[in-house]
Amino acid sequence: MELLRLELINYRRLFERTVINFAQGDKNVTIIRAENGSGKTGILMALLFGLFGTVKYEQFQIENDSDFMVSSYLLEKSGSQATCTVIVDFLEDGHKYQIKRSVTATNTNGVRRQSSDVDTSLLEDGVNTGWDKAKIDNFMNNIIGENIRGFLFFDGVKYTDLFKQNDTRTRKELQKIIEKMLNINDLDQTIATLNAVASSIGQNSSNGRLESDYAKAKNTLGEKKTAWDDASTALEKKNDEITEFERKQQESLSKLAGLKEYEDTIKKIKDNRNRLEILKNSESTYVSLLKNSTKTMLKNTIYKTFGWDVIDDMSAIAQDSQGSLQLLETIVRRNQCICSDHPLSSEEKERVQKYIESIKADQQYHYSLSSSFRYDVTQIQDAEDVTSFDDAMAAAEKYYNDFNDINQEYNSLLASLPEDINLEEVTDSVIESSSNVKSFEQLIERAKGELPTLKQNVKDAEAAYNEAKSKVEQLDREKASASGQQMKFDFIKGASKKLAELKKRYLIEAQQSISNRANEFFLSLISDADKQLVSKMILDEDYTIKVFDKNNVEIFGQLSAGQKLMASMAFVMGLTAEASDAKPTCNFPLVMDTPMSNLDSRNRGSLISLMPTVVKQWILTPMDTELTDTEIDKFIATGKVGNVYQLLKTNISSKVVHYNSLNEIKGGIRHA
Amino acid sequence: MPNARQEYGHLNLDDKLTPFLNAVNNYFGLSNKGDFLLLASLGLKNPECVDEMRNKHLTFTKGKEFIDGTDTYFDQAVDVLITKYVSMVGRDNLAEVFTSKQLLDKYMSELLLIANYYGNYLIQNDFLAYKTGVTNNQANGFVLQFGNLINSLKEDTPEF
Repeated sequence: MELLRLELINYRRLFERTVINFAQGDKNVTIIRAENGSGKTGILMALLFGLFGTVKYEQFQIENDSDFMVSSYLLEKSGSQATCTVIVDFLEDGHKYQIKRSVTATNTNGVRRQSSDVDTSLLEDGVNTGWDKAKIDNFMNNIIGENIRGFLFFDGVKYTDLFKQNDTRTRKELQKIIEKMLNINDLDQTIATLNAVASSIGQNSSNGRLESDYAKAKNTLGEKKTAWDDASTALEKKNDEITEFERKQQESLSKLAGLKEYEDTIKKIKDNRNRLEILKNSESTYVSLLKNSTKTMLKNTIYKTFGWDVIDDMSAIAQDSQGSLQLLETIVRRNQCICSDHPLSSEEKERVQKYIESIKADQQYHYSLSSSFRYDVTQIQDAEDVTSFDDAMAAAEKYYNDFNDINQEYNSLLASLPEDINLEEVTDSVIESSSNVKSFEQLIERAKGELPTLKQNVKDAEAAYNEAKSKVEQLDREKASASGQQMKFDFIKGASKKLAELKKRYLIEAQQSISNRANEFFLSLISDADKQLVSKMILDEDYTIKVFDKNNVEIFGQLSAGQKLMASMAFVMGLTAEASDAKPTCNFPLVMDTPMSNLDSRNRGSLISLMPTVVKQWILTPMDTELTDTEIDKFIATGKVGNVYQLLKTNISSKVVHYNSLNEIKGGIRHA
Repeated sequence: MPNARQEYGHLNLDDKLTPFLNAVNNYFGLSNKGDFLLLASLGLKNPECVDEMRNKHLTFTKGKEFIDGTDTYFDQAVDVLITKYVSMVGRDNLAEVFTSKQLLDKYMSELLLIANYYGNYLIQNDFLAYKTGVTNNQANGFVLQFGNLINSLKEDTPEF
């Protein structure tokens, strides 16, 4: 199949008539560059809808076929009804076809509804075939089967996903894809038919015993088949479990490996953080120690500074009053004043007596005060906590110094990490990853321990099934011989067996050939640096993709997302090449939506130079960031680009603009 | 000759003590009474400061906060300072001072002024950096500086 032209009328955002001509022949690359939301994927969707009448395709993230295709702007503008038409011209088997599909939508008081009927017609070499929709769809399905559409519309994300999981589902899908692609399912049908014919030869023999044995054997066969299927499913499930564990373990390991570079720094940072944490926790201890010491220190200092003075003062005052006291007491004893001969009057005597008492009280007060101070001062002198202030000061000083030093180191370590590394995330994921690796290890070990039993179960079940099967075959033959047609039976059975063997051999050869081709493409796609690591990629008999390093160690799980995309592309290319040899009409275009978003510039370069040489047509819809001037130059160098379009968007619509050469779209998308 | 109010009034002396005292409180855990004792005792060790205070009748608005505290830890130390101050000034009988509320208030007020005055003296001289506020870094340095000050106070103490 070769795509010639896509015409869109009233389609979604592109409500003007839009025509895209696909490049063919020597210049086989068509580029449609666009920004997000301008309808890039919508064009691929239209292509899918035009060819197969469906937009239900997982990569477009469309829920169902009734997704709105008629331009809603136009519907509102034009009133009650509008029709969207998609026309695709293509070459197939030497004929030129034009397939046209229209869908109508109505607008009733603002409620928009799209009809589920799709008006479909097909022209063959300009003549209407007159076929109905079902026949046309069937015809299209025969050209490109549903499974193969996945390759026609290559979606990097989807295939990387498929290649991420080497589980049973993926393997089965790959096998199905390959078998369908190589038309091997036709062989299967032939074998089944032959077997059915062989069984029907001895139908309804008159031998009652034979018939009842046959019925029993058939029954047993059914049971054994179920048992075998169950055992196989159990084994597959276990294998998938192990694969999943291994994948998760690998994920954790590669996460760890990515962080290894910063491991020492992070370790130190964590260490410092812990130390700072400890210091911070003990800060309150230092502070309260210092505060208490200061308080005691201050009180003690006041006692020590002024206490002795105070005691001296008190003693002096008390001592001073001693002389006056003696004099006054003498006066009282002699009952006469010193300066006169007269005896003291009783009034005077009383006054002197009072004076003596007040001096005595005063003296007593000073003595008691001084002795109480003396007691306090002695206490303080004996107290050890005076020195504790120095200790507290020293401890606090050390604390501040330590804290500052560690903090400084901590900050400089933090500064030494790359800016985009979030320490919290990194430390968390280091801890998580290393614990994950360990726990997955245990899980894998446990699951692997169960494998031998499960394998034996499958083997036993298979043997039982084969036994039952040969029993049925034997009875088939007996029945055929009973009706005298044993030779015919043997002949047909022999033919069926031969065909089955042929199929097996063919599949093995095809699988090996795909494996070899894919490997070739893979090695030409990956960078020189990667070539140092990777030695080969194979698709083994189980349809498991394996990538080996120089030491023959399987490393598929360790490949980066970009490398996996390369591996999946190589596989698709290998398959395409194989299918082209096997059935020339299968030589179909490869359509890629945002094909290079996951690739670095070197990988983009090898993709750009290699792809046009291995596919019949390459149609790609890159974003402006994927197709910069660097990539444009690389495309120009290949000389393979036939048609260049750009999707320009305005508020309500998008417009496809054709350019004569790639040079014209250099310098990014220019908005009108 | 301007009077003290004119001379110092615009300086809002006790307001300027606030950042300084905040630092003291944060890092030394002293109560208001503790602040008062520290500054008053430093002032008493400085006879010039006592003379200055007694010659200039400054009015402080926040000074009362110094001694209006429930912190009993320093009560005896306050007694020592009052005793010392009374004996330094030598005007009144100590027994009377301790029994008369009026006299006690009078001496406390004077001690308060000494403390304020000395605090301001520190701000103007030794702790110039704390005049406008205290940053964390300054406070860390202050711990050591202030520790040295207390140590110097300790060194002046006669041996028992």
